[in-house]
Amino acid sequence: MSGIIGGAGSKSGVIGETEIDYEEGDLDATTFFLVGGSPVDISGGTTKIGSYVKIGQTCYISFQINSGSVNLGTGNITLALPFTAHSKSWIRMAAALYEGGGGGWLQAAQIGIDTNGTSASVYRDQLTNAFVASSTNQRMVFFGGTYRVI
Amino acid sequence: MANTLDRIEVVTDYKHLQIREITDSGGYHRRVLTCDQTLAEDEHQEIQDKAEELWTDEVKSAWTTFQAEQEVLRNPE
Repeated sequence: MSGIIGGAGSKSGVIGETEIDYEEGDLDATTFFLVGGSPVDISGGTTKIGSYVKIGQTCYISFQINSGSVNLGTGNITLALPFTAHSKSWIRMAAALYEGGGGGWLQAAQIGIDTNGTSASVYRDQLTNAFVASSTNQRMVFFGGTYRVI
Repeated sequence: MANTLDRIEVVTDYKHLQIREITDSGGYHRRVLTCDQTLAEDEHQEIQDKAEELWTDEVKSAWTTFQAEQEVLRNPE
């Protein structure tokens, strides 16, 4: 491999005849957790980790969220993505969700990222009902997966 | 904004603004802004200028239409 190791978390270069680009970074706990489309600061929660690694058009994202006693307000929970999804990317993936206040661990939870999407939708039961925030009850999201970016 | 603006990338026909910033610890932070969003008052001026330039009524209308089309695809019959 020859190439350039750029700034923080960034590398580019050539392997054989294939040009690569690489970037990694963290997602801010004050901005990546969305309720009703608006960011909710979960930095006071028990666990609040979001990160990404992008290699070419493939982006791996990882979220570990435990809201603890943070008041999340009300509305559908979504997760802000670091990159816009590709126009040919439409994916659904399993996720681990916990719904305090009675739901417990949800058995058929899924994450959805739509074409040209900039956030991941979170569903409590397959793709039918959204995972909804609560002002009083704990919410947890554990998810890791890849999607195609532009 | 606490982070230092590093790069603005314009992607899709809907003029999404992909923002790369450098955090205090030297790492990258990413976020994407869409034309249906209201920018924060303390948003970087360069981003505000880019949004003002690119997020026309035509772009906003096209994004709204596209999202409605996606919603139809999302729901089972």
